[in-house]
Amino acid sequence: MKQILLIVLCSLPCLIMAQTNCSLFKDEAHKSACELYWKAIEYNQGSRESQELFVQSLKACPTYGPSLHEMSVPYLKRGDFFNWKQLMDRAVAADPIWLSDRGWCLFKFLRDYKNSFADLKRLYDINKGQPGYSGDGDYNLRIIMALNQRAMGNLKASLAYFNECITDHEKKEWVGLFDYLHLGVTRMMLKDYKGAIADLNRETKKYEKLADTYYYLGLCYKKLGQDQKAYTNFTQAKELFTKTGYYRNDPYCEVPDQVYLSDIEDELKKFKN
Amino acid sequence: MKLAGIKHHFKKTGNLILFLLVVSISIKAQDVTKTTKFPQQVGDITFDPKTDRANFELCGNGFINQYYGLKTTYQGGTKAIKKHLTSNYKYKTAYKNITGYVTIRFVVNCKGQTDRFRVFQLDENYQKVKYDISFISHLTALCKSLNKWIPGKYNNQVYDTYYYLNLKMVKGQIKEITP
Repeated sequence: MKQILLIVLCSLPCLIMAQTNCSLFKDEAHKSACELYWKAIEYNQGSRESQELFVQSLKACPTYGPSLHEMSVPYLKRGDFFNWKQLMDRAVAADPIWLSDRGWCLFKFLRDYKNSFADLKRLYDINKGQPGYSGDGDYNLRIIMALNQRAMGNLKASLAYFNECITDHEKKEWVGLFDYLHLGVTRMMLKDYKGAIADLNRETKKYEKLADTYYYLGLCYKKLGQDQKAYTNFTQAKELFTKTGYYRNDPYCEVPDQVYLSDIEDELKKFKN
Repeated sequence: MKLAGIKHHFKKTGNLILFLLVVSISIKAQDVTKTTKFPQQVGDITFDPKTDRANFELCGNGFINQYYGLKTTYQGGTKAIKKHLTSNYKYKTAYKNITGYVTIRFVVNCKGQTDRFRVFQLDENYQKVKYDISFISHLTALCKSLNKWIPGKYNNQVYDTYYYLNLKMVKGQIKEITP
């Protein structure tokens, strides 16, 4: 074991170097664009120095995907969706690998479910059903496809993508941190409250202290007329939300199925009345 | 071709060339990779005496952070922002063809006050567009009326930050609000 660890540790600098090895490119344009890309990302994201170096990188090779992508990111994060889209469209035109990021961001930042799904479906087809993961690593992109379908009102299509992804990942024990939560909420939308409870209970096994799950469990039990269980779950949700601080939250955007403390408190108030 | 016809043809062709020139210039101007002078930070908003309040105070040394780095938020979160904007939005039939995005970017200072509002308008294909001026004024006024901002904080110190609100419009109705 120690030997394996030693080999891995010794190889680490080589692996890191491999990332920066622009000399692997055979043509001068890509090599130069690559070198300028690595210089650009040494500066703060969105800074003048960084953006200017990306421009130089793209002058050397106008289709260099990493520079197009990385230059686009500050525009996305700061609400300039015109420039973000222009750059990402060029990246995608150069290489469909960038469909993953464009599709995910269309969902996350712009709630453009139709175009997000179109991008991810294209990638899904190219990669034979394995579109990969979201940029933040939170989701397999099949889950984003499912959430897109759900947002467009196609609940059964949504369920099909959830099931495909989760079944696949259960075999490999790779189920995403919030997959059962979203699946459960989708079943709740389909009024399959018992099915939703089963999924949400699976979520509690995956992420025991997530307040949001107990809120949705409360809603399902309420719909089934099991008020005591509903109350217990809403109380548990509030306890976790206020004391442990484990709830769905993201520095950039409101996330799917995000629960607010006021949502939980509103439900609890109904029991007091 | 008669002289009048030639003149007319030349005028039409000339207009077409002028039109194409204007279009090509505007397309060229829209390519950010052709930019020669970037702001210190992408998205920086400089003070404009025509639109910005002179008495809007910035607390720092002029450097304004981004909301996501310092967790600038609103009392009640995005849920409260959505409630305020959707319940106070007044739809008019004149807005029925508006489908696209309106993004309003602004500064939340360390006291939780806002100013320096800038508006970006896109159609549903992410192309720049100009919507009805009264519609844009109405949305901007709604964003300005949000007055429960919680300034960004780091190490118990409050800071000025940039924030934006992106409104997805479908047939003149607010469908989604991010972030």
